[in-house]
Order: sequence, then C-alpha cells, then structure tokens
Amino acid sequence: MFENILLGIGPLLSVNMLIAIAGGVTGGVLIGVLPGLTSTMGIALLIPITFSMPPEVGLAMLGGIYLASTYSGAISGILLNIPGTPAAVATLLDGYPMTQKGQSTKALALATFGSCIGGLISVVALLFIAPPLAEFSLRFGSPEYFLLAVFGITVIASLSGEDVEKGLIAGIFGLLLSTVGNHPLTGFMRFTYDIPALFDGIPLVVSLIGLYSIPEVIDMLTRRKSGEKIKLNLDESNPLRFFPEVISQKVNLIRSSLIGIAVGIIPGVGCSVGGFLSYDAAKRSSKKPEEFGKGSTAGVLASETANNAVTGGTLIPLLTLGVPGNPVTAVLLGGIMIHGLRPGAELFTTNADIVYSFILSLFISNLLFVPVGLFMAKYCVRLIQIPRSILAPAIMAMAVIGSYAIRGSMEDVWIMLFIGFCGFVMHFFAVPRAPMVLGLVLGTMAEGELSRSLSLIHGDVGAFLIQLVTRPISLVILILCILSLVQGIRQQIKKNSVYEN
Amino acid sequence: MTNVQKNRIFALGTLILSLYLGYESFSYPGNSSLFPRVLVVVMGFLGFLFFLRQTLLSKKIKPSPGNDGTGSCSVASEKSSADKTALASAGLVFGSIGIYALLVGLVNYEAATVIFMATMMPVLRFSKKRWIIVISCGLMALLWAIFFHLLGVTRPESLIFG
Repeated sequence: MFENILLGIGPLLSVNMLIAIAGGVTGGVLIGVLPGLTSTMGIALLIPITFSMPPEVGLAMLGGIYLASTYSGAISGILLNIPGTPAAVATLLDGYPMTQKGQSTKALALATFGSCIGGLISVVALLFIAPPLAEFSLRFGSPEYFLLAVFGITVIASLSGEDVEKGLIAGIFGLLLSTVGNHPLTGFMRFTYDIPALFDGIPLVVSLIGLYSIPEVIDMLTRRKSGEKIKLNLDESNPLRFFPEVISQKVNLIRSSLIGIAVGIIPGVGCSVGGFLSYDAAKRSSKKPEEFGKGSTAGVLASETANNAVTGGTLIPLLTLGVPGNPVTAVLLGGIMIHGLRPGAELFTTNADIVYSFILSLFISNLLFVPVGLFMAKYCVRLIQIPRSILAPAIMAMAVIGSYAIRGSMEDVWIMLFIGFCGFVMHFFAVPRAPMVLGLVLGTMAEGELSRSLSLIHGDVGAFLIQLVTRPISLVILILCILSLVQGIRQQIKKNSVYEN
Repeated sequence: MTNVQKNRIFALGTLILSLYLGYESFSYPGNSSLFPRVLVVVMGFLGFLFFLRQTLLSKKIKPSPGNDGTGSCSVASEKSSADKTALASAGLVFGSIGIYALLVGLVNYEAATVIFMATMMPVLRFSKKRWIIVISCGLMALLWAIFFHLLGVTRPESLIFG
C-alpha cells in the first residue's frame, strides 16, 4: 500500500493538480455559503468542466468541492443563522449564539479548524480501511454485485423520505431510466423511440444536472423574497489565536471524528445526522451541558468536526463497493464513472495512481479550506446578498452549456430538461431524488451483472434465486437489504401511529 | 391540495406509468427485457400498495385543524398557493430554457445567452439596467472562455450566425 501512496504523490506535485484543488475548494466554499446551492448541484454542474481533464485532476477538483462545500455551509450558518447546507444545521445551535455575543471570528475559527481536523482524520481512515475492503470485494461475483446495487437503493429509499414506497418507486424509476438504450449483452434497443441521442442510454451527467439544478432553481424562484436585506454582525479578532483552544479539546475532536466516519460508512445517513449525533455526544459528556445552545465552543467544534469526518467515511463504500452513502457521493460516483473508472479492487490496483492521488488530494483540500475559510469567509458571506433573480438564470445557463458540453449535442439539453421535469414532479410530490440518482448510477451495473449471472446458468431464473441464498456473501447482502427495508417500514409505522393519534 | 391527495395522485401516476412501461417492455424479446419487466411489475405493485395505504389513511384521519389529511383552512390555502407558485415557477423555468435552447440553434450561443440572461433578470424583477448588461455579457464571456476556449468544446451550430 505504501508503494501506491508514493505512486499517488507524483501527480499531486503538478501545477495543474494544485490549481484544480484550489479551484475546487474555492468553488466549494462559494457553493456552501450560498443557501439554495447544494453540494450535489454544484458537483453535478461542474462535472462537465472536469470531463476533459485527466481523471486524477478532475476527481481532485470534485473532491475539493465536496469537502469545502460541506464545511462552508457553516459560514452562513454561524454569521447569519442560515445553514448553507443541511450538514451545517447542528452548527447553528451554538454558532449563531456565539455571533450574537460578538464572537463570530471565534465560532468561524472553531468550525474551520474542527472541519479540517475531522476531514483529515477521516481521510486517514479512508486511506487505511478502503484498500483491504477493496481487496475483499475481489470475492464478489455477479450475484453479489447485483445485490449490492439493490442494497444501495433499498437503504437510501428506506432512509431518505417519509414513505418507503415513494423512495423505492424513485429508485426503481432510476433503474428503469438506466435501461434506456442498448441491452448490455444482446445490444437490443429499448425505450429509444428512434431518437439517436438515446441509443447509448440516458447520459448520466446530463441526468444529474437536470435532476439537481432544475428543481432547485424552481424552488429558489418559489421562495424568492424581494428586497431582502441581510445584516452581518462581524468582529475583527485574529482567528489563528483560537487554534490552541481547538487543540485543547482532543477528546471532543477524536470522538466527533470517529462518529463522523462511522456515520459516513453507513449508506444513507448523511452529514447532518453525523453533526447532530456528535453534538449530542459532546453535550452528554460535557461538564457544562447547560451552555449548549447558548454559544458553546464544544458544540460548534463537535458538529463541525463530525460533519466533515462524514465526507471521508462516505468515500469508503463508494470507492470500494460502488455504494454511495448520500446524494453527493452518488453524483461523485457519476463523476468517477465518466472517467472510465469502476469502484472496487480494480480501482485500487490497475488505477492505483489515480485513486491514491485522489485520496491524497483530499488532504490538501482539507488543509486549503482553512485559509480560505478563515480569511475569506466574511467576504464570501456577502455573496448571500446576490439576488436570486441573477443566480437562477445563471444556474439555468450553466445547466444548458454543461449538458451540451458532455457530447457536444443540443439533444442532451432536451434530455436534461426532461429529467429536470421528472425531478420537479418528484419534488412537488415530496418524493426523494437520491434513490433515483442511485438507480441511474447503479442500474447499468445491476442489469449487466444480472444478465451475466443468468447467461452462466442458461437463463434459469430459479437457479439464480437459489444462488442468491446459497452464496455466503450474497446471502449477507440479501439479509442487509431486507433489514434496511424492515427498518424503513418500522419507522413509517411509527410515523403513521403519530399521524393517526 | 393535501399531502394525502398528492400521494394518491402520485400513486395513480405510478400505476399508469407502470402499465405503459410494462406494455413497452413486454413487447421486447424476453432475454433483452427481463430487468425492465421485473422493475415495472415491482413498481406497479408498490404504486398500488401506496394508493391503498393512502386511501385507508385518508379514511382514518379525523378532520381536525393541523391534521394533514384535511388541515385548517389557513394551512390548506397556504399550501395551495405555494403549489400554484411552484407550478408557475416551473412553467417559467421550463419555458425559458426551452426557448433558450431553440435560440441557440437559431441565432448562436453567444447572442442566445445574452438575450436569455438579459430577459430573465427583469422577468425575475431585477431592474438595474446597467448591471443586467454587464452580468449578461460577463457570464456569457466566462462560460465561453471555460467551455469553448479552455475545455475545447465545439460550439453548437446555429442557422443564422453559424
């Protein structure tokens, strides 16, 4: 493994790589600061830009956006009580009260250093947990990969919405969209309606742009308020002098990082849950729990450390098994796949230089958002005053050119609009979009592996079903699928009983 | 529209979509359409199950303020007005992007982008004319530089200005 790490350091030293990381981090900070712009949308819109870059450079840029946008949601949360991203919600509880007390710089410094340390620890975990897990995935055959795709969808469908059925329907719809075009083995055309642009299937990145930019723009316009003035309450102290205070809370930092990593590894749970769990743990173990909610430094540190530690955790199942932990990593998986890479053992052996340079670039991204966050945050947050009447058409223009750029085809713009329409309908009926993204991303793999399995046993569906329960690994994944569904149904029964009473 | 009503419409839509996609997929050869066939059957079943559950839920919920099945008048009217605004915004977004895409094919990318931005901003109630021109031209120049100059993407062809 250490040879591979050395292999990954080489590309990191190139100027292009460093520019890409810096660009990704700066872009990520801006995306995170602006409420309404999500990490998912940001990555989906910027994948076309990384498309023509070498894979390691493109992935480093996307990684920088992911980490920086997860962190920077805290900036507008601390200064304005508006979380830039859902990940920052727990940070508001103590971050904004600190700003009200005239300690905004201190709160920002705690959030920045905490995010950096949490992020760095999680990348170390990624570096040491992912390779053995990827090696383990060598034992997987077609039935296991097919079930992994099913597991990814069932777990996200069960956890990401109010109704399990809606999540599952969204996942299945995504899988169905992935069947448009050639059959992976026979080459027979399905659902193409003689439209040449559909012969190779629905382009993944185009779908991601439509699914995450169009509904967000509509939502932005629906909630638009004119003449909204934002008041900033800033103090001018030196942020670096709070570093010793951060380091003095070693237990809090380590505990929050471990919670974040564990939450990240479990698919479907997400950054905001990591932040809340860690906040709760810090409150329970604090000698001054009464300070929580009133501007506790331990509270800000706990939630921010954990939500950035989630990022490295989510990448572990993503890079080793191809199972994304949340919508952002589902989009990131799309970004990985358009560079011709496939998660799993092959990524850590044949493409070791790319994957290790990507992982190591995350160290640089984590370190780079410290100066950006500490010294630019107060200026970045003024961006929140950009009227939505400028932001919305700008996003639409980017969505159009981004969709066109993938294959140089205006037909892809229409496909993006169609998927955007599907996304809007889902948003309107409160159907989670994450399972659909997962369906789209994992659909080709699921159908390909199913077809390969069946072709090996002469199309005998009964024999295939027996394989699923007789092979030990596939049986474990099958049990996990059932457990995730049972968990979702149990949660729903609880909610329904509250409704009825 | 209440959440339960919305859910029932969604479930019905799912059922109709399953029937249509089922009809399509069962018309393809079996070895090339096993996966979509299984998917539409499961989706149809889930749609039916969801419709049934929502129908039972709507009968169970007592009509009292704050209960989601019916809700108080003010909550219901707020939801209905939010739905109307969302539909109007959606119409604006899809219509404007559609026209923009057609304009790109008709005039050219640069002119279409400036026209799109310069029209959309006032429509969304941004009224500073000088800023509208600066932002429209600035964004067009930025996107042009990134995609066509830096990334080497071929410009879309157009009828009038090529």
